[in-house]
Amino acid sequence: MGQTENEASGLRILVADDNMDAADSLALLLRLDGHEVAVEYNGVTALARFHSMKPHAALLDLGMPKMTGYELAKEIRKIPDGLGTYLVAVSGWGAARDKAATAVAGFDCHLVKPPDFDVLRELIRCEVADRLVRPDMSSSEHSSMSPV
Amino acid sequence: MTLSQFIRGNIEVILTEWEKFASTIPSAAGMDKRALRDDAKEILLHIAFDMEGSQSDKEQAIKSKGLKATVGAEESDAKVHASGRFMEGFSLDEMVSEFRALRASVIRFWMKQPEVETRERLLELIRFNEGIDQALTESIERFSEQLNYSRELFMGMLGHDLRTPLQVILQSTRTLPKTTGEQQQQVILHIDRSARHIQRMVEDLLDVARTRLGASFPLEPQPTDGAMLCKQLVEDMRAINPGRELRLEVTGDVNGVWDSARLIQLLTNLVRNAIQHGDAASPITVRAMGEERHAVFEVHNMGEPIAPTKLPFIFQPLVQGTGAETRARTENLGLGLYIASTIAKAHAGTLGAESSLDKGTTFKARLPRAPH
Repeated sequence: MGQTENEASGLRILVADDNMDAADSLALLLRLDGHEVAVEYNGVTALARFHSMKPHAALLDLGMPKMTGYELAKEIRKIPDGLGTYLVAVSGWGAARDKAATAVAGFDCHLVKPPDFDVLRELIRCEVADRLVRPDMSSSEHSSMSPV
Repeated sequence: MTLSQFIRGNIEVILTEWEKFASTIPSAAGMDKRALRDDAKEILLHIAFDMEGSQSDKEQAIKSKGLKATVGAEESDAKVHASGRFMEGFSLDEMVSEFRALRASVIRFWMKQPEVETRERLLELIRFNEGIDQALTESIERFSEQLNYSRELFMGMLGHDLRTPLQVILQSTRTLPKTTGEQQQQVILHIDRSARHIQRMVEDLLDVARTRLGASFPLEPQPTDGAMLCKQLVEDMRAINPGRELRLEVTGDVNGVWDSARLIQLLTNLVRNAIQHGDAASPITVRAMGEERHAVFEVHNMGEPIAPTKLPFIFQPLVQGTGAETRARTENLGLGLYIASTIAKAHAGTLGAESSLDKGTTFKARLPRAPH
């Protein structure tokens, strides 16, 4: 493992949002932090990209055409490679019932747009980089957090 | 003869009298006459039925205060009626004035009945008024519920839809200092586009607020070349949406006296709607056609048709957001079609829509060449 605990960079991150500018600008921010970022603009292509990329984290919009973020998260959790991925919902909806729905769909975290990038960066550092440092901890940790 | 018998026996005459009034309600203008009449008939017959049941003094007092609970789980006619009027875009005042007219029509005929004793006439009248009050109370209650619900929905949508362009701007200002050259140009473009997006939402909101507050839509009509206007519009929309094929078809003379900025807004909203909801692989066609005294502007796209149950309500604001939580697209507030139809009406024209799987979706604005 080349990463140290304090610096999260060089992670593979998938960003999906049907608003292209939102997806592109978020990807650019993450790339400037040194991550490898893939961008998709709908749920179907995002799922295909997930299979080929096997990202450490995926930041997904909820209201996407063809396949919503909820459906996408459920599909990702069915894939063995998707069990340990850190899934973040990034959405304009932020009521308690929306957050409950994302938890049920398998998301680890729900951020309301516009997401605070410092918070997002800290989450990625704590939740993803730390799991990489202690790889055997990650899967057991996740299964205890998962609601299903 | 009792008043309830009288209502049953003379219902068509009463409704004809009432119809004269109903046709003066602005929001009823686009409505099916038959449907309008059937609704009023249901309510009257319901009141007549209610009047025939025996009623204690206590019951009478409760009813006159509008406190009577709806029997069973079934929806009362008055509530169903209020939901319908709300969906059709009636204001609360317009709905209440329908009831007033219904009451007035019945009373006018009833008082002319020669063979009824005065005291009997009065007692019957009191019971009829109580019935109307009960229906009115239920209708207002339902109407207010609907209004509150759609307000909440609308505020939720507004919050939601403004959030994405805000996200783009905040993310971009953060990357801007760290980028150079072409990448920086891209970031600036993102900020610009999102700020315009927010601007458009704010303008739409102001337009809606203006019409909802009852003020008319101000127009500045001037001689306009509809063909040139469409050509310019299609070119602009092509530039903004390079991935989409836009076609233009002009037939005949499409000159007229219109507010050209508003006409552009109308057509832009229709094209934007087609881009948003149409099949991305199929072209969008803008047609301008000259008729003798009218010009017709059409926007056509292929793709999933609008559900027949939704079609009558797509031009209403605050209504089409139903199910917003699962709404996939977040490009605008869903006010575009309402504003487009308001612009058509302000020009004494019409805006309609047809939609099917094989023929696609066509929006058709028909405007008189000159305002009357």
